[in-house]
Amino acid sequence: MSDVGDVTQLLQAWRGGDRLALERLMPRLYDTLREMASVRLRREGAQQTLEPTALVHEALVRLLGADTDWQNRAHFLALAAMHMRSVLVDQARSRLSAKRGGDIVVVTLSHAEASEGQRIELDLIALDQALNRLHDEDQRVARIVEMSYFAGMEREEIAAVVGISVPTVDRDLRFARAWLNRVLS
Amino acid sequence: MATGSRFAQLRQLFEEVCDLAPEARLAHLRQSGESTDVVAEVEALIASETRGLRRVVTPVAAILAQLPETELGLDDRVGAYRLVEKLASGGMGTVYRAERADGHFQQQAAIKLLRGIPTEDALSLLAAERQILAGLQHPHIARLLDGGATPGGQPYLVMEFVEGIAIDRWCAEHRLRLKARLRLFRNVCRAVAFAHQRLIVHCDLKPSNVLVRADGAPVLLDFGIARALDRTSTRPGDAYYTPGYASPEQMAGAPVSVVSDVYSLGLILFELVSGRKARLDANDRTVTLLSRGQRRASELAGEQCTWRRELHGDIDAIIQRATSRHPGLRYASADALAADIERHLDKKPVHARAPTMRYRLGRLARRRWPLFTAGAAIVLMAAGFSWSLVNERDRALAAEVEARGQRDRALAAERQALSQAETAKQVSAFLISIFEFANPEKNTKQRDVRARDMLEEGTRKLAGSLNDRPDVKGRLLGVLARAWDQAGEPKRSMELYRDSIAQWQQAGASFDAERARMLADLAVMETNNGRKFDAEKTALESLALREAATPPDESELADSWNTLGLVVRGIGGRDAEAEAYLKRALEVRQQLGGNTLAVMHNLAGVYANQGKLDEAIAMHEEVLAAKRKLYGTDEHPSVPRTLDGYARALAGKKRYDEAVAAQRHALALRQRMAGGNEGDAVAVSYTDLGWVLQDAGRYAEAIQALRESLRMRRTDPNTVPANLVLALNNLGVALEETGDMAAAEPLLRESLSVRRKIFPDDDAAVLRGEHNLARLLLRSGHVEEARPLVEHSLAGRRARLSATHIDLGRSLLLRVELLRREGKLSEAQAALAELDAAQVQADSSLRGQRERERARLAVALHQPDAALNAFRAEYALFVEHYGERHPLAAAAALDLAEALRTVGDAAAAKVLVDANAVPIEQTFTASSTERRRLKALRGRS
Repeated sequence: MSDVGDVTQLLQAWRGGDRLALERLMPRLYDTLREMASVRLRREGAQQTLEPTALVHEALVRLLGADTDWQNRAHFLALAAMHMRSVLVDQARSRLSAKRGGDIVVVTLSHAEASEGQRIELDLIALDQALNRLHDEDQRVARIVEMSYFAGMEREEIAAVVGISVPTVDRDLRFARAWLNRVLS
Repeated sequence: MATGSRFAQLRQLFEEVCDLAPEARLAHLRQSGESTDVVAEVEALIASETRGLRRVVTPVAAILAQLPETELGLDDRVGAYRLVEKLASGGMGTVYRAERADGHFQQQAAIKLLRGIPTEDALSLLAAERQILAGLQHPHIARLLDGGATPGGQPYLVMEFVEGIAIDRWCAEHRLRLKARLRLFRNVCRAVAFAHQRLIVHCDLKPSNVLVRADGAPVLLDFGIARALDRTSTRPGDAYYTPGYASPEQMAGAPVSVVSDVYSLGLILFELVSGRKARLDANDRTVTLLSRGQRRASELAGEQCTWRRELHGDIDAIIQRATSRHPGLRYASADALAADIERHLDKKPVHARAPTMRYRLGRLARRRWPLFTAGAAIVLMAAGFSWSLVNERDRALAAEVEARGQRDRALAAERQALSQAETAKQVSAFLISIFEFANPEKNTKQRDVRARDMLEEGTRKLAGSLNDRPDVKGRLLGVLARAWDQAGEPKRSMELYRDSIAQWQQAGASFDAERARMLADLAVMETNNGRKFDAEKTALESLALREAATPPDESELADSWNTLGLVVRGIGGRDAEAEAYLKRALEVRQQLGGNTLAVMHNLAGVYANQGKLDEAIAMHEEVLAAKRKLYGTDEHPSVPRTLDGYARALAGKKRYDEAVAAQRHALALRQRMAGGNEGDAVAVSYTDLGWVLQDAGRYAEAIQALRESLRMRRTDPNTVPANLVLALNNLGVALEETGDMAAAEPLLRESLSVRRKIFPDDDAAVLRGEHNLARLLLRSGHVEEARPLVEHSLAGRRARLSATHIDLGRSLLLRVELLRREGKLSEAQAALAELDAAQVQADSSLRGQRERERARLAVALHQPDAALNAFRAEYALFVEHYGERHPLAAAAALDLAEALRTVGDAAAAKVLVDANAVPIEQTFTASSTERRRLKALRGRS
């Protein structure tokens, strides 16, 4: 795929400090993720499962190839996390509005129970808003939550991308979890 | 005190207290001085902390909504029990001490009230799990007695109440020694294994879940409960565990198994033996470092840990194996972990360590320690096996495969593996036969076997055996060569290296890599033992072999460059060449990994030679610091080696006190490491100390050290002649410099005669011996005997040395002195002119001597003004070189004082004499010319 080399180059340029590369990369990433998510939702019908982590990793393989080096992979996932979040939130919003029309699509995140109806969408939007608040307080912590929750990144990968130690990632996540839980409860 | 935003305050306080027990947390919060709303918010955060590190977003609010606090309080009844005391509160819920309330009998229990209200299904599942857990009966596991749900629907578990304290606190409070800790931990493992055999996994092992009763017996709490709860959870994958001790797969939400418990046990073991928490403060990367195998437990252990060195090796390996990031690399069971701990306690080889020959022999030697009086050398010999056979095989395999191409790969690999297995067997059989020699049951005649005897026996046995396997024999000869070197017998070592090289050559071209390695080792031995030109030849041969390899191995080439750098540096006068070699080696090793410290050490020596003393000192300091960090102790052979170079560079900067201290430290380390034996290293260290003391002008101490070195060389029957020569020469020259010609003469004569015996007539070593003896003879009035020596030495040096070599300058100068003392003043003038015109790179000492000679010649020619000028120059140069008040500078002061008096400046002369009288009187012998001249100068004033 000609895409592969291209994305890799953009990623490398971005890691090398080229902001423009990021801007060129973003739409491609968002489009890919959105397309994958909606194809899946259409194909599988009403009762279907959507795991953001799996999706992100699939996008990774699709855009970068299966044997991406560790650093490219981490930086890609970091980017993808941000987009996965918007894809999911956008989808949740559109589903919520669609529900008024009666066509219910239940998206299950991870293995969680699917029986709570639109609650999940609401939760997702609430989480999104809480993350925005967290972002206002501490950008780094919010980004780390995003990477961990939406892209399933390993702590080591997060640490490498953000440029902090693994224990700091752990502490950020631990605090973020408590803080989000508190805000959302 | 927190600073910054409210968010930052919250976060800081949260982190301070989030791992504390509830009481401690409250106390801390109260003392924090924060406002009540911040404190309340932190408490709310702690309360809303879910323990699972789930990496995918799940319906977050749903999780949170269902966390009602336990609604029961003290004195409430739960089933047949009454809650008496709140013990703890954590992620799973709250634990109470309870008593039976139905009055039937007195019984205490621990009741755990669980968080959340589960569904009916989950409750019945929990009941089923409870049944299984109730069947888990083991003296070291707290029993699960009962369970159920409160009228409000909150589930609870009733457990055996254990009176004890957490295992980490127990160890600390009872100041348990390492062995006792290991035994206690072994019992914990056995209890965990008991449950594992019944397919029950703990899932939340941590020190606070392992209590030790007053009688010292460990008891595990909460066995299987985390798992039972997990299975009944309405939110699958939302297991309870404590992040500090959970395995990576647990944190990732992947299925857990017995090896997850093994991981937690590994961290507990780490904490028990290292005395520090596995996950503690802000930047604690301990767990990651451990589980990736990047750092060993012994390195991570705190400074207060008194048995750090005992952790080195077995315990490091056991912890690393248990805490491996990859479940498949861990011990397969808690039993296997327990068994390895036992093996370590029994001093048997542990499975966690690769079964290298070196390691096995090390264990064997330790087990039979009392049999050996000088066991250290045996371990050293085993350590000669520092290429572990495993690595060796891999390397050979790679080469083989490369040579034969893809098609034969499998076949070649198999054959190679078989052949290597055979080699390993023969090597071990041979080494073990040597050990048998030391076994009193097999060798009844000699109960007290010295390590040296074992080496003798091994060398003797090997000479007549394995003639059909040159590769095995070559390898073993290499081991013995290294062992003899370590035993302080370089001569035998070098012989064996040569034998080994011959064997490898016989073994064929496929063993060129091994031959090259032996050649490189031999080159180092040769250069260290005064065979510098042989060393260069040997090193070049090694390099040629390695360059011829297809493809050449960069790191092997780096070894050759390092060796050549060392050898060329030793030859002297070719420092730029040496520097280039070493920099090349350093570059490769920095890229590919490898011992960069050794190269830096050598490079520092070159800098010192080149007079770049600041760079040399800085690099030595860097190497020293790195080595100390690496080895965790100064008692490693490579530390004193760097101290030597460091001391020399410091002396070059006239930082004498530091230099002498470093050198004495190096000597003490070598003596300690030699365990009272006197080896080559100790003798060399005395010599180095002597030199530094001489530089410092402390001649009495210097002579004492040099005498000690010579005594050791003489009493050791295995001394290499070159080393004896060195000791003779050094002491001779030191005595000569104190004016004790009578004592110096026989030493320098012996030095020359030994040199003539072992070196060819025009060897640099012979020329130096002649030069030194000639100088002494000249100055003690034996001009006639000196003449042929001076001439032969000069002729040889003209022929052999480059035009810039300092020794050539010394010879030219000595000829001036000879001619002057013979009264051939015009010839002496011509000779001096030749020296002045020469390209010799003279140091300030040699230039000072030249000015002294110029001055004395001027005196002989009755040119007092020229003499005075030259004496002034002499004195200035000597002060520059040696420092003021150094005895040699003081002697130069006498020259100048005499000259000043001659031109009538008695006052200036007196000042000089007074200032330098003390070093002269303290250093020079009573019969010396210096003392006589001092007396004369004083008598006249």
